[in-house]
Amino acid sequence: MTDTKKLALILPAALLMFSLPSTVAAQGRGGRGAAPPAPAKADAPIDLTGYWTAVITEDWHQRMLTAEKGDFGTGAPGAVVTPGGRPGPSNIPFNPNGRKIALAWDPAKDEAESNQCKAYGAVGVLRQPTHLHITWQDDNTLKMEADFGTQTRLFHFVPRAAGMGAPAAKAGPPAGEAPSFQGYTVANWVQLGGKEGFEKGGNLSATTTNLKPGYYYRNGMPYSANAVLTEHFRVIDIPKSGQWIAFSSMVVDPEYLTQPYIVTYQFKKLADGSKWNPQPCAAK
Amino acid sequence: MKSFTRFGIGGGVVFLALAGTAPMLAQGGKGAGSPTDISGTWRKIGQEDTHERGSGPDPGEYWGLPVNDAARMRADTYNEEWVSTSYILQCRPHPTGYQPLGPDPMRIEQLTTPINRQLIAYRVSYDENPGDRMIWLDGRPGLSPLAVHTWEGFSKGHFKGDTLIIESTHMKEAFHRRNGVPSSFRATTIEHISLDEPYLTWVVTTYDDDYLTEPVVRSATYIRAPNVQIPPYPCAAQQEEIGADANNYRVPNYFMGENPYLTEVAVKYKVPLDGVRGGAETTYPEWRAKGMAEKPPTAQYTLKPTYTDASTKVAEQADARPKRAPSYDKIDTLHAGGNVYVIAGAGGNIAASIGGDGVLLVDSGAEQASDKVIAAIESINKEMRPQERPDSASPFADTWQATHAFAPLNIRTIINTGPLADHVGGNAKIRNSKEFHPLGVLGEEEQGSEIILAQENAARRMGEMKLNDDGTPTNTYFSARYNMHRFFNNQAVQVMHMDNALTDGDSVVFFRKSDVIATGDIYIADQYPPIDVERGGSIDGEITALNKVFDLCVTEFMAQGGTVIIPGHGWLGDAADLGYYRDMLTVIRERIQKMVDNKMTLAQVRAAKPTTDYDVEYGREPGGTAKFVEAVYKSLSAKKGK
Repeated sequence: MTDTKKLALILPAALLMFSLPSTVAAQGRGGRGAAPPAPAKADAPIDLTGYWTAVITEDWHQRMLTAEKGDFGTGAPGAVVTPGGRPGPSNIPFNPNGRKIALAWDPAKDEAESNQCKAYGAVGVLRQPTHLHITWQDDNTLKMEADFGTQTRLFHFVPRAAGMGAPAAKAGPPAGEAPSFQGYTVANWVQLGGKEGFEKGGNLSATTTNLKPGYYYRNGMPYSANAVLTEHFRVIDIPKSGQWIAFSSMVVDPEYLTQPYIVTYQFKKLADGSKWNPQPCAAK
Repeated sequence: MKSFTRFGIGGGVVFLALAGTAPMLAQGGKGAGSPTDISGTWRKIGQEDTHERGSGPDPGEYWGLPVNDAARMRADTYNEEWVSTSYILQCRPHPTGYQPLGPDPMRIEQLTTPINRQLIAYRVSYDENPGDRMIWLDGRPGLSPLAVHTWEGFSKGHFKGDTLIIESTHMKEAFHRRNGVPSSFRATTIEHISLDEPYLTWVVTTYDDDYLTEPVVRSATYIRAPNVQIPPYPCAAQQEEIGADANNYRVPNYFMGENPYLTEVAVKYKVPLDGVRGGAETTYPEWRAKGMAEKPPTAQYTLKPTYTDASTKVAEQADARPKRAPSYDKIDTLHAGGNVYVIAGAGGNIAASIGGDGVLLVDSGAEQASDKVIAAIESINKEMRPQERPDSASPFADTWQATHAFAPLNIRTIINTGPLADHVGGNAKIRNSKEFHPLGVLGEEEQGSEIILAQENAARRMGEMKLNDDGTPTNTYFSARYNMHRFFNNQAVQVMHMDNALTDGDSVVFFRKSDVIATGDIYIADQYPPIDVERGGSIDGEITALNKVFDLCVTEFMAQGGTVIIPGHGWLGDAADLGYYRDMLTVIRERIQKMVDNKMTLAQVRAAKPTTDYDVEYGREPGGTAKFVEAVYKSLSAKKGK
C-alpha cells in the first residue's frame, strides 16, 4: 500500500480523534459531572449563516468558465510548454492515472449517464461561480445550499463528549449510506482566544468522506471515490467590504493525486437573497 | 523526495495531534505574545494560479482583478523590458499585497523584547524578495504621512481567535500583477493569516482606489518546511542587462493601442476578451452567463482599447474644481536623515539642517505660514542635545548640564530651489525674524554671507514676482554646482543647478553627510511637476534633472532606502520613488512627442488623454493635469520648431 493510500485511510479517523478533545480542551470546560455539552449552534465562535457570493479572483478561467479538456489550470493542452517540450505547470498534482482520466473527459457521456452533477459535488461546488445560503437545519447540522447546480451540503456536528473522560460520539456516515456527490461531512468548531487579551475566534473544521467520484472543475478534472476532503471555514472582516468566508480545501486522493491538493478561496456576504438564482447541473 | 512523503504518514498524524492540542497549549501561557505561533520556515504550495504565480502571467491577462480603465491603460502600455533597464531599479521586489502569493519560501521569526520576553513583532524574510518585513504586534503608532514608502510597507498586527490580522500602509508603487497591472503608492492591505498545522493560510486583501474599483481578496497556502534555507542578499543588479548601446534612462513602453500581445492570452486559454480584460463584474457569478455566450478570438491581433470609466475622468474633474485656498493649519515635521528634517504643510516642503551651527533652510514655504515654520524649527531645536563624545571621558565639569543646555535658535541661511511662491514666500519674514542670525563676516551679521542663496535665474524670476526686497536672494550662483563655502553642521552642502526643468533657475540641495537631497518641485510625491515653459522650463529639462538626481542616489537594499529625497510636496522618498516618477514622465513625454510628430493640436492631445493611466495618482490637484499636458506639449512643440 502506498503512503498516500495509507494516509487516506487513517486521515479521517485521526482528524476526528484529535479534533474532538482539542475543541473541548481549548474551551477550558468539561470534566466529570459537567453540564451537557452545548449544541453546536449555540457554541459557534463564528456566524456562517446568511447569503454569500463567490468572488473569483483566483484560478479564474477554470472556475468562472468551462476550461478546455486537458486544461490543468495553465491553459489548453500545448498552451504553455516549458523548455524541453514538457507540458506546462499544473495546478492539480495529478499522478499519471489522474491525468489520463482528465484527458478522457466526455461531457456527453456524463450527460447520458445522468452524471451531469459530477462537478458540483462537495469537492467541486465551492470552486464554482455560485452563491451560498447557509442556515442551521437543526442545533447540530449546518446546511449549506449552492444555487449553481442547486446542491445542498450538510455539516454534521458531532455532539461533544460530556467530559474529558467520556467516550466520543460516533462520527461518520450512517452504516449502509450510499456514497453521494456531497458525501458525508463531519464538522466541529475550533475555538481560540476569548481571554488574556485576545479576541475570541475560531473556525469550522470539516471532513467529508463517502463521496461519489466527481470533478474539481467542470472540465473533467477528476477525484475518486476514495478522496477525503478536509476544509476550514473562517469568517473575516474586511473593512469597506463587509464579512467574507475564507475557506481552505484539502483533498487527499491516493488514486489520482501524488500529494494533497490544497486551495483557498473566498466568499463575500450578501445583504439578502436577491441574487439567489438556482440553476440545474450542466455537464459542461 | 516528494513533498508529501517527506512528511510521511507518521508525520501527518503527529501534525494532526499537534493541531488538536495547539489551542490548549497556546492559551496556557499568560502574557504570551500570541494565541498561536506562526514562526518557522515555510514553503509555498503552488496549486492556485500556478502559471501566474510561477513562471508569470501573460501580457493583457487581467482576469480576476477588479481593475479600472486607468489600470488597464497602464498595463496595456507596459513593456516587460522595463524591469531590467535601470541599474538601481533592477532589484525592485514585489509589495506586501502581491509577495505572499508568489512562489518564494519564507522564514517567519519571532522578535521578542529581552526584558520580559514578550513577542513584539514577527519578522518575515522571503527567498527572493524583500527581507526583514516587520509585522509589529506591540501596538506601536502608525507612521507619519510624511514617512518614506517601502516595498513591504509598514505593518501592524493583532490576533483575533486563531487568525493574525495585519494592516499595512506606506507601500511603494508596484504591481497587482507582474504583467504591468499597477498598484498605487496609496494602496493598503489587510492580511488574515491562520494556521491549520502544518498549513498556513494567507489571505491578502488589497485596497487601491486609484487602480481598483473594489478591494481584491486573494490567498495562498504554505506548508511547514523545516529544511528551507533563506539565502542572503538575493539580487545583484546587472549593468550588462541594460545593454551596451542603450542608456540607463530608457523606459520601454508601448504607445497606446500598439501593444501586439494583449490578445495572446485570450487565444491561448480560449477565453472571451471581456473576461481577459478583467473588472469587478467578471469576478461575480452573474458574469458566467455572459462569458459563456461570448466567443474567444481565434487569432492574435493588436487590440485598440478605449478607456472610458470613472477612473479616466479623475483629472478633468480635478481640473474643473477651484483651486483650494491653502490653510497652513497643520505643520508637520519629520526626521529625514542625519541632521536634516522636513517641515511640511507650510506651502512647499522645507528642508532644515539643524545642529550646533544653527539652522540652514532649503526654501521657506509660504509667507502666511512663517510664524508656524519658525515654531516648528524651535520645537525640533529644543530636542537637539549636544553630542557626547564617544569612547572618552567627558570634557565637561558637569556632563548633564552641558549636554542639556540648548543653544538659542539661530537660523543662518535660506537656499531657494526655485522661484515658486509657495517655496520662497517666507524668505522675508524668516529673514527679518528675531531667530535669523546669518553667518557674519568679521563678526558682523549685517555683512553676513549666503543669507538667501539661489541660482541667478531664480533670483531674476523672483525679482519679476515683486517680492519684498528682503525676500530676494542675497547671493546667487551661475555655475552648474555651488558648494557652500564652509561645512555647515559638520557636512558639505552642495547646490546644483537643474537647467530648464520647471524654470531656468531650479536647484537641488545635497546634504552629503546626511545623504539627503531636497529637490524642490522637480519631484513631487503625488503631483505632476509644475513645468513653467514661459519661465524657461521644459519636459526634457525636467527629465534630465530627475536623472541627475537619480544618479546621485545610492540605495540601501533591494532598490530602496539609502539616499533620502525631500520632495517639493508630499512624503519623503528614495531613489526608487524618483525613478518611478522619472519613468512616468518619460512615458508621457514619448506619447505626447508622438502626437506632436503627428501634427496634433493641443486640443487634440488633450482629447486623446495621454496621461489617463497616471492621473489617478498624480492628477488630483485642481488645474495640475491640464497645465502639465500643455507644458509638455509646448516644450516639445517649441523644440520641434527650432
